[in-house]
Amino acid sequence: MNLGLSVQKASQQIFAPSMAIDFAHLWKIERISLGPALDFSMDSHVFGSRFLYLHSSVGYRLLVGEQWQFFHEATIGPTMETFTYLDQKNQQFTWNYHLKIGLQYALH
Amino acid sequence: MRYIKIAFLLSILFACTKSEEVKNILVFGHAGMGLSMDHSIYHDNSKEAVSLALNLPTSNGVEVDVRLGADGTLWLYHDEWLEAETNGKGCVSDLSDQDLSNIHYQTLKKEKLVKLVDVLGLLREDQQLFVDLKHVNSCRNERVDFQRLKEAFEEQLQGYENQVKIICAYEYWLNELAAEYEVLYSTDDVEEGKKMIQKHPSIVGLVIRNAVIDAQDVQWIKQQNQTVYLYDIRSLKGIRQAYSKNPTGILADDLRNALEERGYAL
Repeated sequence: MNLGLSVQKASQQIFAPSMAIDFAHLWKIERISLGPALDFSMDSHVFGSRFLYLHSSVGYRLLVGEQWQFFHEATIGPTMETFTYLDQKNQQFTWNYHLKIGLQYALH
Repeated sequence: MRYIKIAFLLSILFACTKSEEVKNILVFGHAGMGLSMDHSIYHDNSKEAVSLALNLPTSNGVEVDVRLGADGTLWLYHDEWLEAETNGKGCVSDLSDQDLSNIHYQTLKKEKLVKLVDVLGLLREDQQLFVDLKHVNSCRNERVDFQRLKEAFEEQLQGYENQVKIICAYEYWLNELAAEYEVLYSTDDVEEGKKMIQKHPSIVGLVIRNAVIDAQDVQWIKQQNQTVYLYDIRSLKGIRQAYSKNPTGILADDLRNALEERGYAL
């Protein structure tokens, strides 16, 4: 579960990552873990047409702590926007980036 | 309890309904998808930005900044100096079509400078194009040649006269341009603007910065049978402020939010 504030420039829509893979425990020294992270997500909204957004990004995730963990994640990657209006197909590519900090609780 | 539920649902319904006045306000993309907007996908005045702005549902058109090149061709570019935004140097007015066609913006996508004729074909029949005429060559500190400019308009706007409005900030060209096109005077001074529409009845209205004009002045201009378009509207708050003044239209820097705030049903 992700809880937090999502401030998005450009698209101003709230969405949660549809799929996230992280290997945050790949490198562990004492109470600090670090590893790569991959995020995939999609969202859409309707305004005269359906706008569809596909996002993917890659970066790293840092954890500090045992049960309660401070986490920090930074990822960057491409975003594709598509919509069709009046029989005209539109497709744009741009970048998305995420900077996340927070606290999480490990269940085991 | 039943009546409370109905009243609650009705209050939500009416709260979400846009006023008829807002639905009638025309919305145009300022320089495509916004002028100097950091988070815009494309650079302002690029073909890509204009194309996206025109293709967004319910968009009424775009405003573009136009300069006359040395070969008599009209090019889209806002700033005075090319080095401010591109890999070029100098001023558009001093460069040939060959030189200008090799220039691109200094962005990730490296959008190329584009001729006005190349974006005219993107307009749908129900859309309009505002041509903001940049009349000064800063490299030489002089105005561009008006006769050459008129010839360029005549040749390059052919077939689109009814879809194009000219924005001009130079008073002495207004009447002559207004003989051929719909012309708006651009100013940041409300009192000066009011004087201009009385002094030059041939023009069709004003383009004025949102922050300097209030609802009362907007209505006064409309009562003179003139149109008024507001610009420099970057935030959602600014969009709502502009709509509350009920202008003829707005040149929005955040076109997506401006269109959504106006609502889909026209």
